[in-house]
Amino acid sequence: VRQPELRLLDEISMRPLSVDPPIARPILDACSGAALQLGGPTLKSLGVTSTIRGEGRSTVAIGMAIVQRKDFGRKVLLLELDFENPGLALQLGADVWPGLAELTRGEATVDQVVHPFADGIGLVTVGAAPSSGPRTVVDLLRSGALSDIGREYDVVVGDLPPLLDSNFAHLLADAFQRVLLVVRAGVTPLVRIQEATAALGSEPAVLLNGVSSELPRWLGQLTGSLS
Amino acid sequence: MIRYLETFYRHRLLLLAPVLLAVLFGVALVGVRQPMYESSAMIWLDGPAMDTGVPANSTLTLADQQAGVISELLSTHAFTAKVAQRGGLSDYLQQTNPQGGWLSRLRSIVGGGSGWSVSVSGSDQNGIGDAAYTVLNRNLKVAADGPQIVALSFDAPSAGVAQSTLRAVIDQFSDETLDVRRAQSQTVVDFFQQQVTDQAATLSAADARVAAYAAQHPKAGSTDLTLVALQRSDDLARQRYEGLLSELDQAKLDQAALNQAGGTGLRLIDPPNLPAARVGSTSTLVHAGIAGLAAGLLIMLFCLLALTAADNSLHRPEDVRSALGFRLVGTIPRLRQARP
Repeated sequence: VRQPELRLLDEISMRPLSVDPPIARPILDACSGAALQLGGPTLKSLGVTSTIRGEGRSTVAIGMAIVQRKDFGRKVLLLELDFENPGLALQLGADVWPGLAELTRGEATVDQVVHPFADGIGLVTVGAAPSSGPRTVVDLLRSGALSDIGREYDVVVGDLPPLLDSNFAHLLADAFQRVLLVVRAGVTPLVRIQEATAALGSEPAVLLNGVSSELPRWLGQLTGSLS
Repeated sequence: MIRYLETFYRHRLLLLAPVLLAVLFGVALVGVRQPMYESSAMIWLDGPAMDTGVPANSTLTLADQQAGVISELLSTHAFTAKVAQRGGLSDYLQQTNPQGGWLSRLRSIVGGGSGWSVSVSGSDQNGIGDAAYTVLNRNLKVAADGPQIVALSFDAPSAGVAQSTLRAVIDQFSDETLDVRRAQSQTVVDFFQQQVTDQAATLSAADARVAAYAAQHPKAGSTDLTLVALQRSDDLARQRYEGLLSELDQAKLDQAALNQAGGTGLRLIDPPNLPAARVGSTSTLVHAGIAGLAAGLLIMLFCLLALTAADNSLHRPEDVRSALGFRLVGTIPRLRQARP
């Protein structure tokens, strides 16, 4: 069961960032705290990934982009890099193409592939050829196109594919300064997380999503598990 | 500990269901059991009703000994068959067919330990005898309730059967006792009868010898040593004869006394009562509920341990560092779906 936060992202997209969606606030708060720990205004690029699908990876990527803009006033580029299951553009109501596929094929320029998502935030989608994902990734990494796209922006936030669901997720993750691993509490098996992160070039930071205590409040306070 | 508590509250319905089901199952089992009625009686013993062969210096009381005798009799098919015939137990077992319906079959499974669930066909006398033997041995309780009192009780699905069967047990025990005593008494009478007959002949012979000697020696007086000796022998024979006659009279008196009321040495203090209420229905329900609760809690504990062991996902922020060794930079609480 997915977190019910995506519905509210429709309210965020293409609207001034002063809008505070009520349910998304906990996500933004968590992203705000995480952004500070990941370097805050000095962060250059951040790849957001997860072990498997459905852990809240794309939502956190959007949240981190919004926080960088809202909290630090930086220009943010949100990159959709999940070539095998693209959906960020549809979720945010942006154009699906042109995107990275068209850019690597020389069919579009950098300016053409960046879609304005909100004030100060640009979105680049995977484009119209998701089936050629591996080829596109290799071209992107080899040509340095990723660096070129982010040159105009203070920080690049990448919505990476899940580590265990993609053959090139690790390659993409290693291209970012910091990697944020979203883990769904109570869902993702520990062994799968360990398997997924074993091949990462750097140690990822973890954002635990969907944390809840089933204990009654009085028992939580008694055992010290609730603060 | 917190892990187990978390698991319990996360799966509370799943974990509590076995407890609830076990309690309901236990109570339901008691609910479908046959209602049982208990009839009880008490016997006062004036003396040993039946010789048990126990030494006189034994610490066993008279009641202990006779309770043991009744238990021994119950272990014989002959005694139980007579009791079953006498108290109507055979007829009851013949009429009751536990294969009749699903409830009866269920009861036969649940109440299998009491022996009432045995199935016998109408003409199978051996089967009825075996069933009566089983029922009597499993439902009749005999115990000494003091030095001279034996308490008996019998459980049956029918109040009338409980009373009549217990009455039959006591009557049959009384008859068995009487038969043994009569046989013993007859043996004594026969013995003394033979002794008296023999002694009467001896006495007649002694009388004849004295008379013959006096006829041959008309002048013999008290100084005649032979006559004195013969008279002395005759007197001894007569005394012996009179003693044996007295013993025979006593034996015959004892034999006659056996035919009078109380001749068995038993007195029925409390006759078998007709029970009005079922045996311990409330306490049995409580016990079944407690047993079900205990079993359910055991199952719940096992499930809790298994669920906790099987759950290898991360639940709490502190798990991230301890399990993965990575830095935790934030947590997002679980969000409830907003209702439209």
